[in-house]
Amino acid sequence: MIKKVVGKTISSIITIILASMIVFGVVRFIPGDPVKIIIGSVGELSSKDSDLYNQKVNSLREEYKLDEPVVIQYVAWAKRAVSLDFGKSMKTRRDVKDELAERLPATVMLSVAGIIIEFVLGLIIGMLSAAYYDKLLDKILRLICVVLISIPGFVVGLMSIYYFGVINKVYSISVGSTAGKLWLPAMVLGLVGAPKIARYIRANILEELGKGYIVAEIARGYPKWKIVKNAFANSIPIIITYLLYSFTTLIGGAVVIENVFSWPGLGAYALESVLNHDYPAIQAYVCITVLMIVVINYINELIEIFESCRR
Amino acid sequence: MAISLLIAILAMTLFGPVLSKYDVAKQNAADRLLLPSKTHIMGTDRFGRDIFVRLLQGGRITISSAVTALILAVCIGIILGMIMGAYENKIIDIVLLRVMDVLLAFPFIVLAMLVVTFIGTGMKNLVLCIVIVYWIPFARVTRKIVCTEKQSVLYEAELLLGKRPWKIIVQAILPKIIQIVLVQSTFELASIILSLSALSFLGLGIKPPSPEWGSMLSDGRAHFLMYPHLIAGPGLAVVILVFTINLLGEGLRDYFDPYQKVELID
Repeated sequence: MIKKVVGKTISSIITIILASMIVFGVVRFIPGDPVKIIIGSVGELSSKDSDLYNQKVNSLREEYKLDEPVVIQYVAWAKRAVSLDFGKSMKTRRDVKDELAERLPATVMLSVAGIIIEFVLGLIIGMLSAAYYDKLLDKILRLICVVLISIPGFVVGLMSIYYFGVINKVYSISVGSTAGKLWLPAMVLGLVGAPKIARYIRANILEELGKGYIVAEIARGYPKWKIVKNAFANSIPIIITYLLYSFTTLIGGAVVIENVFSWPGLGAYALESVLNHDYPAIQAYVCITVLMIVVINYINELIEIFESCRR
Repeated sequence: MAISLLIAILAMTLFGPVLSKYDVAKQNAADRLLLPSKTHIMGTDRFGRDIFVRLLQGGRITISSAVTALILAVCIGIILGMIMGAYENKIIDIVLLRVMDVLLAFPFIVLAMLVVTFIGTGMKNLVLCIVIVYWIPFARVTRKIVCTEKQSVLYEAELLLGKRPWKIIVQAILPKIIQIVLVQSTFELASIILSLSALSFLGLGIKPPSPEWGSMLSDGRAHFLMYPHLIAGPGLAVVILVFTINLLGEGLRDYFDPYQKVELID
């Protein structure tokens, strides 16, 4: 077991290093002089022949070690990245770290609320679907799931803004992330993710229901809900693994939903940075999401290893 | 049912723009933001262009780029998957597995943003993004099938008869792979269309003048609180198309193996 854990640890670290190389490389090898890209079009430095400009270019060259081989540049960048120093945003000239920290609470709030709704909905649909396997209710719920999977998140978002904001006027349409406005984007996020969880839970419970101990319980005359409950209890570890995994898909989905609801979170920030060609900000965002995902996958693998050893 | 719906959609997108009297790009200031009526089935957008015609034209772009991406992804996935299966646990297999791990560490939209940062926006670049991510599930499935089939008696027997391993894989295992990948690819196609429209909606896809469902949606956003038909049309189009493809996938899955579940990686 220890051998497996060590193996997974090493492979996760390698993944992080390789991914960070990609993140670094993408920005480093963008056509053009990286220093000029970094300086960008800042007002006082706009005239390209001024002494100040050349001075700045040289000092940045020094700072990013651009005259050294790429490997050394990468190491220098990675060293700063480890201490969360991704440089200054090219648009606002503020530290990317501070900007990200400002945006983080909104995103955490939204994703936690979203995942709770997603999970509760998925659990109810999945359990009902499994309990009434192949009955009418199961078929209806499965059809609903296919429909929900077919609707893009941003369409659900826009429709719900129109319905709740314009027709019913219970949702105030404005920019900002107050707790009172959380319910709608969180609900949309949950609704979009729920069918996948429902399917997964249904499949797992059905698999569990096919096992021997269930037959024994039926023979003993247990009530139906109790049998399903026991089957569910035994598939909890797998479901937790999936729950963690769905966090990773949530990160991508949140970019879209934050954009639709003008929710000032990390996803919206990342999109702005891409559209503004704000390279340090993009690097920072991508690094952080990759780190989160690798850590989540790592935890999942550890759970799997412990589970397989327990049996 | 799903097949006939799909054929209807394809026929409409193919012939629709040709038959209609409205021009896709021509702006008409007098007819701005008209509600749906007899002359304009789905109304007009903020430049006075007929939404229905633009939808049909946009369908061409969406469907053709999604199918291109899918075909490329399937080909790359099957070929690399077979190589990985054939050289299981050799260097090339380990390297490719590592590449997959790294690519999977990026959420799809984040990876797309990274690619766009590097090579710029545009439909071709989006297709490239999709291929970069979507070959992975196909390669995984293919690799798994090849690895399992290599244990089978049939494979050993063929090997004893002196056939080359590669010949056996192509002749005996490839048909099985194609059958499973076919089912999988319908679901992936649905997901590709969703991703494509999401990316264009975010402004990473093709630019507004040419119609595409996602960009039409993001174009309509500015006015949709007053004129909801701006997003109703394109939104509905995406939903109907993806729903049809998903139904087709469910049908194909039941047809090919009614008892077994195909493993899908989301």
